[in-house]
Amino acid sequence: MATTKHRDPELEAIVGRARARLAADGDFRPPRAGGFTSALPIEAQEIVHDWLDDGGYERALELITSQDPDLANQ
Amino acid sequence: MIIIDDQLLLDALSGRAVNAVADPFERGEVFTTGCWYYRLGRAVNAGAGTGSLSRRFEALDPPTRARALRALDELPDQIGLLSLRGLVPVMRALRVRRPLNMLNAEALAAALVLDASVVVTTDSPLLRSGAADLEVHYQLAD
Repeated sequence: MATTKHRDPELEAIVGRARARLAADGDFRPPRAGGFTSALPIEAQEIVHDWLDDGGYERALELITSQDPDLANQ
Repeated sequence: MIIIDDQLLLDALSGRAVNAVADPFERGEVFTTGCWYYRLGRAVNAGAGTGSLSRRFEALDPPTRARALRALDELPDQIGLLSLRGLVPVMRALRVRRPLNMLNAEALAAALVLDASVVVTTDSPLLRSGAADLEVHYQLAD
């Protein structure tokens, strides 16, 4: 069953104009379907996975967001 | 349609898209945001010593290292990205209970325009409450 959303009409109008603008600019080009094969070499994939799994990415984010609050998870 | 954060983006770029992302990928329904894409780029070079991903890549031979950095730098066609030209008016118009930074405003604006769900790795209370205020679906990736 479809759910009707109860959003602010003014916001809905702005969203509608944004959609029209993005479509006119060609920005609404949909992502290519059919899955994705990583362009990272296999050895690099392993390094990335280790870095993610040992908390390296989280530490990097702490450093970045300490310098730039606009990029922080709030 | 889903919008994924930078950590999910990195998982996907490195060949291990999580379940919540893999199926939408097949259907061409995955977007990210400029802020998350930018944050990923910053993260690759952040830190010192072996804490930094770019330093860990020094274990690779130079051509492989260059390919790896390029692969993380370029967003593939399978991942969509909306321009700020279209999103900023929506970002400015968001009325939520708690103020949002640019990263979260962009994510919610993109979700509204695409009628998409926001999928994140780490719970973000203000993003979650903003999503609730705007009736945008928000989920933590498994």
